[in-house]
Amino acid sequence: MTGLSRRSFVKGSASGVGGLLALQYSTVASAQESTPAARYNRTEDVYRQKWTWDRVARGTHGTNCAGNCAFNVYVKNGVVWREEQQGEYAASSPDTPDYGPRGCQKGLRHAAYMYGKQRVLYPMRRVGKRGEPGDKEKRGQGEWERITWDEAAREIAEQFLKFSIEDGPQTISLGSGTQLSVKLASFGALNRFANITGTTVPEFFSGVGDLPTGAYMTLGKVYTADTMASVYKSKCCLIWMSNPAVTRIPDAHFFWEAKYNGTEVITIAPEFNPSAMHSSLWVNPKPGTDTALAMAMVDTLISENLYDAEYIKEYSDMPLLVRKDGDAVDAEGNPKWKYLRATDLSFVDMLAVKDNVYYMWDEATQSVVQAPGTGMAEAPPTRDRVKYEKIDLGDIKPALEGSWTIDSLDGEIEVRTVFELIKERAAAHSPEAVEEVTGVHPSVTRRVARELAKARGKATIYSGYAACKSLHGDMLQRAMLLMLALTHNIGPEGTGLQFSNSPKSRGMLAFAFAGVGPATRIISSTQWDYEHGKMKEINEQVYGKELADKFDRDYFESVDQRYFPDYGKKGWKMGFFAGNNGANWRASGDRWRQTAFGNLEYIVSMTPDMSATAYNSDIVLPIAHHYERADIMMQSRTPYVHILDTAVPPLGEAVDDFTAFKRISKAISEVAEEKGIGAFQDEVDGNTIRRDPKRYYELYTMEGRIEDVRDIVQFIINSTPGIPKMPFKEMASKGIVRVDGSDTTQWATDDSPYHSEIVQSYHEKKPFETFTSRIQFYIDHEWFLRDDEQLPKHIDLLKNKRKDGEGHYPLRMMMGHARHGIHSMWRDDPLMVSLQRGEPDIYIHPEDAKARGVEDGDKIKVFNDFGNFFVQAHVTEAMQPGMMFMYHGWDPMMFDNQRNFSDVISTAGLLKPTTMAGDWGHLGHRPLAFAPNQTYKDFTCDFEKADPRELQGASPA
Amino acid sequence: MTEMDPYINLSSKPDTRVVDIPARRSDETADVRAMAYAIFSRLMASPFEQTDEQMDVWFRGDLATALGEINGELPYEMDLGPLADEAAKFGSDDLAFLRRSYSSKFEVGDDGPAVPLRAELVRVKETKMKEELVRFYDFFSYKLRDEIAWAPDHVSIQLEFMQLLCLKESEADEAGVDSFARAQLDFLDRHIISWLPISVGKIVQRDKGDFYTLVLTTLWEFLEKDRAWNAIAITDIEGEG
Repeated sequence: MTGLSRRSFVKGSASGVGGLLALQYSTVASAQESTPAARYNRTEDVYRQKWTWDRVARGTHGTNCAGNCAFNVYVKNGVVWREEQQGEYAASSPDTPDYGPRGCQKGLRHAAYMYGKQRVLYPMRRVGKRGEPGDKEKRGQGEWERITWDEAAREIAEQFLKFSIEDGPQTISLGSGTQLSVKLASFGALNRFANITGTTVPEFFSGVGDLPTGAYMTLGKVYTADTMASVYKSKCCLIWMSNPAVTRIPDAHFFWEAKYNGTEVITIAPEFNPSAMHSSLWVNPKPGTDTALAMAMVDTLISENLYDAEYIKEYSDMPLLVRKDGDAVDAEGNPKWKYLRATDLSFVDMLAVKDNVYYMWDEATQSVVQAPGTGMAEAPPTRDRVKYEKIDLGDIKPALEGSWTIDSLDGEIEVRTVFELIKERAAAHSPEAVEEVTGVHPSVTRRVARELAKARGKATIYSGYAACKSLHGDMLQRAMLLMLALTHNIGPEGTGLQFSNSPKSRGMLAFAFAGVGPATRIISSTQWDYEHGKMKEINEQVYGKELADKFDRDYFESVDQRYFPDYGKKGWKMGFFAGNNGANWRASGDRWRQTAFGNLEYIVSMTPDMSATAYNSDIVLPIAHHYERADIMMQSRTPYVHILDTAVPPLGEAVDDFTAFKRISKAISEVAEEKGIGAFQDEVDGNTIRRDPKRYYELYTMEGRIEDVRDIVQFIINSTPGIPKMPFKEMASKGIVRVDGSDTTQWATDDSPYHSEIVQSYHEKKPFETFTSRIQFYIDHEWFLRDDEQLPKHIDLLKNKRKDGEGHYPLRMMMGHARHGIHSMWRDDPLMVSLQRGEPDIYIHPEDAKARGVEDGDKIKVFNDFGNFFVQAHVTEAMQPGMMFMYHGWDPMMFDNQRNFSDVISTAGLLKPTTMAGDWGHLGHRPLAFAPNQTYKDFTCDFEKADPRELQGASPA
Repeated sequence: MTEMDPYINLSSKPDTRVVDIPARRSDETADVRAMAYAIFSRLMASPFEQTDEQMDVWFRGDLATALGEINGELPYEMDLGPLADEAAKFGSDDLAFLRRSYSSKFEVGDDGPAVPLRAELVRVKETKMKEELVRFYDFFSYKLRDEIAWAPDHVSIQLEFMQLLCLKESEADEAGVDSFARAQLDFLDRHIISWLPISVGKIVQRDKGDFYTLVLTTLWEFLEKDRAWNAIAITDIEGEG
């Protein structure tokens, strides 16, 4: 021992070594500046000081669970330690329960999750090959390297400019998803970047199969929902294609409070789920037969005269007249009927009136009369027009039933009402006729229909997006709406198809377009995938040549007819994925990852958490999590806007999305300047746009006026109708602020920030935004008539053929949103996983398990000829024989061989032809309203006990 | 199986430990131990937090010098020569490699970092563990800078805290030595030593022969010896009896 002392280090510091004793992480540089609180004797001493908080921030979780729950976020020493439900909510109206406190176990776990191992903390560049499915051994084996933000932004900018100049900005996709879409400022930031640079934005409403096309066909709008308290206002509530006890945890109390208040709460679901166990009645149709059940109830309502004739005469197309379409007949020899239009009766200027005059038989005058509200210059009527027109019947007494012979340009023709056609269609689905299909006894079907009718003007169907996720989900929505319309249950408070709503987004879009005008490319991702993901090939392999050829023919006819845009000319070269875990949820799983996704030459993920999408990317950028950023959230289920305030600085080098796009814009402009890349012409929807990469940064930041995401929040507050005007700081101190137009449980006025068109059409008798200006059930577009879809009907879900020619795979696999995660977020949290089975599991019936020698807890292989995955068997009587059920969101990275359920879901190529129809009133390409959905239910599979050798191998069979 | 939860099962009995202050020879041992903790803290810090120049000075100069200065000076047998030898081999071209090597092991990965350097990625009851860390830091007025405050459990920070305790011991009177000595032993037992072996095991299994494997295994040897030395100087009378 030499007696090395402080002095020798100090001496050494002259050569640099002594400087090591300076504290690198502390706010003070030397030990002398730090003084202990007291003498330390043992560990208990550090606990003697009362724990205090440095601050309590207002926060919520910016994820699309449709919840929005205000939390207080407790911060000490720069760490979020816990969160607590805020609980300062009031009620929609004095006669309904209040909204608070709101929250769920995911939100209460976020303070821990945000520090979890899945967090992306630094920009990362791939140094190995892109994700190789099945090779679990390669995970975490140094496939990534940390790089600086400058390096990342520079590399992205160079790739961006290369593709933008050589191939056009439309070859760069800017995908976003449910983790970003509800953070309005961040979503605005993304859309502004896309608008300025010309990248393509794949819309994810249809992309994830959430688009209620059937609601759009019927109502001309997809936003049908009121606040959650509207459920309490109903006297009969059908929970159908939904499981709110699991998915709507902060709001489920409205259902059960309604039940104790006398409301019949009836769950319709094939499985005995947590919502069913709390309901007054559980009806369990066989999977995929819901439309048959709905139409059987329609038949009951009509045959037992339980409908409200006056309501459907005024608000629906049921009294409108139809005529035979010449000698045209359907496949079964029945005549085809088309609406009686002005062009049938006289030589009119079709261009002027769009052939949208419709007629009724007026019993008062015993003559054909024009239906009020039809024949407007614009078809469908726009909101500007509907302000002035009315569908009020006045003195007209429309007939609902009957047929008449009238004069037309074709001579005498027979006309009848749409209601007559509906009666016929419904009769074909009588409770007895569909009992074998649905498995529901006719007495039960009638009981539910009668309950609905008994609650005339006070009944609702609370439906989830599951109703959109089958190929013919539109039929189910149309049938549900038909049940509701017949019973006067579209329009009044406590009624309606409670699907979803959305802010009018004017402030968000105003920000995206501010100073540059709208020049955004929004496309349907399902359509793009069809063209670039070899989807016809998949359809042919799985569903046979006949179906594949028909779908393909219709797809290209739609494009040729310009019903829908043509995305076939240029494929994407580069993709951004922001708040989006597409590699998790896209149907056709690994096939999609290898084709549409894998063919991208350069992939950038912007994400707070690692996922299958990030795993398959070239660059991963760290994005701030919920408590590390500012934003404004709007969800129509409560009458409040929610503010996300920054509780702590972003972890590591994470930044919010705006900052990320700002850095990328800056790098693009700098690289463009260095390389002398000038402006170029770009064409969007027939308009020529001048894009100048050197100016992207300047434009993006509004010449430096937008410095921070809070500036965008303020922009949105200032420019969105319905949000009380105040500074962000003030709003952040409150956490929640009541919006305008929220005096009832409905969104019913123009001053509310949410869509209110349907409710207004009811209360004010304004035309609905459909071709007939009414709630429209009959669609006489040629494709609908050809496919016998002019009215709703049951169509069997598709099955997967066995390659060996031995029929079809027998088991129907259904899915739903999970209790322990919001999509893939929180799904991998250790506590959440521990509350389940510790790994992904699938529910199967004991008989199916026994037949395959499988016991509860066994690892099984679920398979069809399309793909397979391994999962734990959860054997339960809650399932029906022949069905399996799996809660979704499990990321492929959580499975053996990194393949999840999407590997057996062979449906990505099933683009329903009638959802690509166009040139017919309100039907035609409408982003976020009418587009082909990605669907997830039209497949079958089988399972067997897993072979342990396959679980260990990198390449599953 | 119920997990032992050291963060809530604190003893209600009186502390019966005695610190053998003369045996510690704080004036001779504390600074050199502080320097050892400082070196390991710096080695386990992210090279991305340093400029190229700082890295060059550290890896190609100060590191070997500092290791040389303390080698043989610690109050227990501890051969830092192999680490110093490796450090001496670094050329200027190796710095980028060191960054890549550090980040791919300790910072990024598709299933989290392959070798976690943060206790909460290894331990369960992570919130209680972090709370106690912060309580220790607060008690000794060790306050982290804002940009790193989110990771009080990082090994580099925990090592720096030990460095602080050693430095405070070196300037303390007898009562102070008693206090800082107890804190060092408790902090080692309840924190660094409780989880670091898991990460050491991971890197040994994964990257034999790698520089950072040598760093972590040498660090672990140092911690074990330092802990043992601390325990010799702190006797539990009741335990003896």
